[in-house]
Amino acid sequence: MIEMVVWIVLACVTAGTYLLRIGGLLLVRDGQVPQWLDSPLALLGPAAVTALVVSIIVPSGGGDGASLAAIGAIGVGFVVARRTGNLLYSLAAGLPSMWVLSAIGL
Amino acid sequence: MTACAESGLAAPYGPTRRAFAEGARDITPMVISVVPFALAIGATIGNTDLGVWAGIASAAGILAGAAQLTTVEMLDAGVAPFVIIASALIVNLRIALYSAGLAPWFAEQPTRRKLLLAVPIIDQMYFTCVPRFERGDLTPAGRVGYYAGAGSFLLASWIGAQALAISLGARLPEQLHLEIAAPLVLAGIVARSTATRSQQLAALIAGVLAFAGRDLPLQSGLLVAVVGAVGIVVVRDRRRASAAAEVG
Repeated sequence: MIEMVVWIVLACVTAGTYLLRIGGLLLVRDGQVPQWLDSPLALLGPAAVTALVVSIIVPSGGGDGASLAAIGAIGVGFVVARRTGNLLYSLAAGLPSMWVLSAIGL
Repeated sequence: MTACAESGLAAPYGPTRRAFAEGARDITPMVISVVPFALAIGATIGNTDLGVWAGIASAAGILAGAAQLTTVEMLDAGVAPFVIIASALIVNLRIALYSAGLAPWFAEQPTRRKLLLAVPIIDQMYFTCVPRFERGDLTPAGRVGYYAGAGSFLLASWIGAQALAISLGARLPEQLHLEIAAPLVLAGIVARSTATRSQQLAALIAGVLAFAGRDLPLQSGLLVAVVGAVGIVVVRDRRRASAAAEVG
């Protein structure tokens, strides 16, 4: 592995990500998010995080797909979070679900 | 102002130390969920040729698990630098939204402080801090205190867990499947932030599109999923709004 390239890539990803972080804070000056951003913003969070979850549990590159156990466990966590609004309960329900579902071979 | 708060009168409270502690306390569920993720990433890095210092630098610099994992795995696979950088930044694009969403809450802060406040912006911070801020009972200083408490606890745990895993070559016991903890909590975040039908629809469409586009180059499947889902729902909502206006 060529050391220099690694550091350059890391520096670029770090800098680029920081720009994404600081951009909104600097550009949105007054105490209001611009109106045209209002409804997309409300939708973007749920959309982005859902897409992220899918990308984490379903490997790309034609793997064997997400394990059913993972999907089931995440489903349990989702329902618990919906009912209770509590993320710790989600974890407490989802992890054991994962153990059980994996154990039975899903 | 402190006396007001302690007497129970509805006044915004400023004591930043209390807000700091509250922020740290409220981010705890998130910390619990990301530590296994951090350990898993650290162990993954330990399996590459990256080395301890590059590994820790990737953790402390990027401060975003999905993008960091993408970067590290692509570096190890010898993918072209431009492709790695583009993919990682596309994975992180949602961070710009969080930044825009947090901005009004820090509008009155000096620019120097904003430069620091920007550092820990990530899903877990946004979905913990914004609902808290929306309760409207924190002063600007209180918000900074809360945010700083949450952010420092989250970052310290994140970087610490990775540094530990990388340097010890730690392996998570596979049977525990702790790698599911972070997506589990993220799914819980979606469950809590989809109150309206439009939001539920946006999440569903994004999930389907993300699955369909998972093999697209440069991780652009994520971008297509988000832009597609939001676009479809915004158009649908506008149509319904104008249809309702016509009927009325």
